[in-house]
Amino acid sequence: MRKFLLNALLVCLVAVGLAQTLVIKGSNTIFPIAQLWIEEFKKLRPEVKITLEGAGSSTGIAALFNGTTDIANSSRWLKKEEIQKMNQEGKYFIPFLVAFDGIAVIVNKSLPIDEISIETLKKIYTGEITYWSQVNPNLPRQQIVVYSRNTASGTYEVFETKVLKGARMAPHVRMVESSQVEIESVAKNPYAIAYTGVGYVTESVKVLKVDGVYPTKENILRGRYPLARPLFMFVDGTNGFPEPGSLIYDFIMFAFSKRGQELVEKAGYIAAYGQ
Amino acid sequence: MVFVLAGTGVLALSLVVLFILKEAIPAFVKVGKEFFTSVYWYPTSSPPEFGMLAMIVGTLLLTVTSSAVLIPLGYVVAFFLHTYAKNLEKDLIRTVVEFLAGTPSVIIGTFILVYVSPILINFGIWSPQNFLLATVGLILAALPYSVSLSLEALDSVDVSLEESALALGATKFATTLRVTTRAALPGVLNAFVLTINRVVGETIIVLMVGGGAAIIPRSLFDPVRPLTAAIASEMGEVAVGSLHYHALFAAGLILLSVSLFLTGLSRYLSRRAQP
Amino acid sequence: MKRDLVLSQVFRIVSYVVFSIILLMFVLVILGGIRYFSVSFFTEYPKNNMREGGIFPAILGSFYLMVLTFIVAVPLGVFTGVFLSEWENFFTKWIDVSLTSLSGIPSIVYGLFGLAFFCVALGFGTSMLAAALTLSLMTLPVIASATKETLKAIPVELREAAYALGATKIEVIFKVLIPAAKRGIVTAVLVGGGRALGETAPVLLTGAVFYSTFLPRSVFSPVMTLPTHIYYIMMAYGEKAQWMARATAALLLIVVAIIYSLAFYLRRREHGRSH
Repeated sequence: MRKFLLNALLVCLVAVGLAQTLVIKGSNTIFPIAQLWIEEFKKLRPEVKITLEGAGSSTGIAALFNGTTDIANSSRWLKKEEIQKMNQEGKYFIPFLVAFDGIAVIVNKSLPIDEISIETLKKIYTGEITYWSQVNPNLPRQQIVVYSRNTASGTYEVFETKVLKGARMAPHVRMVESSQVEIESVAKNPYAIAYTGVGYVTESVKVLKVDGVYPTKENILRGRYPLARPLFMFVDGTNGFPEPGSLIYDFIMFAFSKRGQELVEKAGYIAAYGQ
Repeated sequence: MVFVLAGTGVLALSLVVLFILKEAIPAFVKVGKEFFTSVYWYPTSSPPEFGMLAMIVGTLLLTVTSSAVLIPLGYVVAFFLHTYAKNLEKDLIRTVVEFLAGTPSVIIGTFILVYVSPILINFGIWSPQNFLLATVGLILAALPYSVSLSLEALDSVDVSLEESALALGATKFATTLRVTTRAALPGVLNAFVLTINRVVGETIIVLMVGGGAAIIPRSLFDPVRPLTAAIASEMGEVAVGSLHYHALFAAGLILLSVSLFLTGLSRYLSRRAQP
Repeated sequence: MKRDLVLSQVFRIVSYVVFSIILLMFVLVILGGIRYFSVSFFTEYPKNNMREGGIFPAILGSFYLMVLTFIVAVPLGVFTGVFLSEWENFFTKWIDVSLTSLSGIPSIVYGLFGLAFFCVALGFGTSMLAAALTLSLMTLPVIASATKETLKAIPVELREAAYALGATKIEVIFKVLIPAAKRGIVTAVLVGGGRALGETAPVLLTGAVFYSTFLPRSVFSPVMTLPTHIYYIMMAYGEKAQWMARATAALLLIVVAIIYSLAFYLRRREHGRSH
């Protein structure tokens, strides 16, 4: 009798645990937006349980393949290998465009430089240039402390594509786990350079013009800023589009809603809809 | 019944070795020598490169430098506690050292990031996460092992041996150095081996303060990324079953082999220590 | 004679310096975090990107994880220790070797194993259960060997008396020896528990989640724990969230200190009794 009750209890626990949970994993760039969405969404639907992770776009997409997440936040499009894998496994991931972002190049406020070209940026990150004085003779002869997001990051992937254009990042580039760490490192270190989603930028760092253009909302939307990119939420649609009324559907619809898009702007990014 | 439950120990070890091997082998088959010959770790590019040499050397260098401080330091403190310390002193210092043993490594890492790293910036060292800090962290983490085990070894020597030496006119210092240490040599060596094992396996501290760039560090202030940190940092982004996944397991296999070897060495030494 | 005096003072100074540094670290970590303690810190969820709120889910998560780990590790560990102490045959050597080997394996390798075996092969996913089982494996050797030592230290007369009264081996073990070894076993459990509480790497890979809006509902839910929380904040959140990392670190250190103090106290009583 006791054993039966124990088993029943376990089953109940499991059942309760599986009820109404939304799992979101992926992009570190989208993380702050997602947190705002979740806080607001919980007010509308208090009975819902949501978990969020922001270890990087690649972790989200990997989780989508593994079946361990409902929504994958991604600050990059799918890679060729991922599309191949989708085909091989007979899966289809639905891309939902939720916001726009520009990758901002940041340096310490005390560094006397205001803009940079993609060429120079590439040379810094591939290791061709290692001293600030090589960028501009007026700059101090100090080693550039180069930061980057780690390889799990969608931001990293986009940067690699648009700036490095296939070249390898130098091994001495420091890989850090999140954009926030990059901001702080640059704020404290006069010789650091880093790149982050524009939503992370604060007063404590200086944003450089890239090829003469600042990552303002206008410039990103008009495509003038060279490092602009859309932000996505991917959902596994292999077994059908999410049913209206289902948790995934409701959450995505909330992200698209006026309030959801307001929160995108609140986080420092650019709304995709309602412009 | 008791026997069956006790057997879980053996079962557990076999499973651990089995699974790590199982998941690592596909990587060795596909990548093979490159692991040990190339310093280019680019697991996410096309085509991917899996050179672990920089990380292996990183692990090696960190272990060597930390141990170079840890082993003598631990021995010196143990020497002092065994030979000169009065009971109260011995108890007090031992207790504090044992508390350090129980301190979670994440706290040591946090302590270094919050209190020690900023000191470096004040001295004009613009690399706030580097080899030196990682070494300091490792020393803090493994020092209790070094001290306690050395002390145990020295204390376990028959008191009459020491008394005879003293009676013959030897100084306390000479007694401990020549007589006790020689008698306790296997035990003391065992302490060294186990300390090294602890250093090799430390993950969180090096992940937090090492700097995250997989290069062979050429100066104390270069960043470093040992195998443990790479595994912890990248495991989140891999799809189960991908080559990257297997490559990380291969790194795990290297660590496992090293630790099993050191454990075996330690067992041999402790058998020698017990007459 | 002179050299002896000088060296003894040098060693004394070194030991005291080490002692002070360790003490300094404890004091800084605890003081640096205590001032953020408040009722809301212990009872609320983290809010606003970790800038406000509390760490209740992490506290509960750690607690649940510990309980689960104990449920598995204590019986297994105690029985293994009993077997090693009361039987002497072919198997004891194997079990002994396995336990020593298990205790030397790096925590990240345990994480890899936990991921490959519990999360993937057995299908538990990122869950408290997987993390607890992995932690049990890490704690098992500690509890087993301490149990064995304690039992071995019980005077032979006690056993002989029990046998003389006609008890079977099982009865002697469970009704006489284990109660007599209670204190030693509890000490071992405390030490093992303290270590498991502070583990970050294996939990990161098997059970932890960045940010969750709800408490773990079943053993299959992922969980926030104190050390993983500290790690995430330090690595992925900014200046404004640092307070939470410091406060959590202080809490964790205090809890671990209490657990170890209890263990030392019990150990002292135990030693006092058998002498």
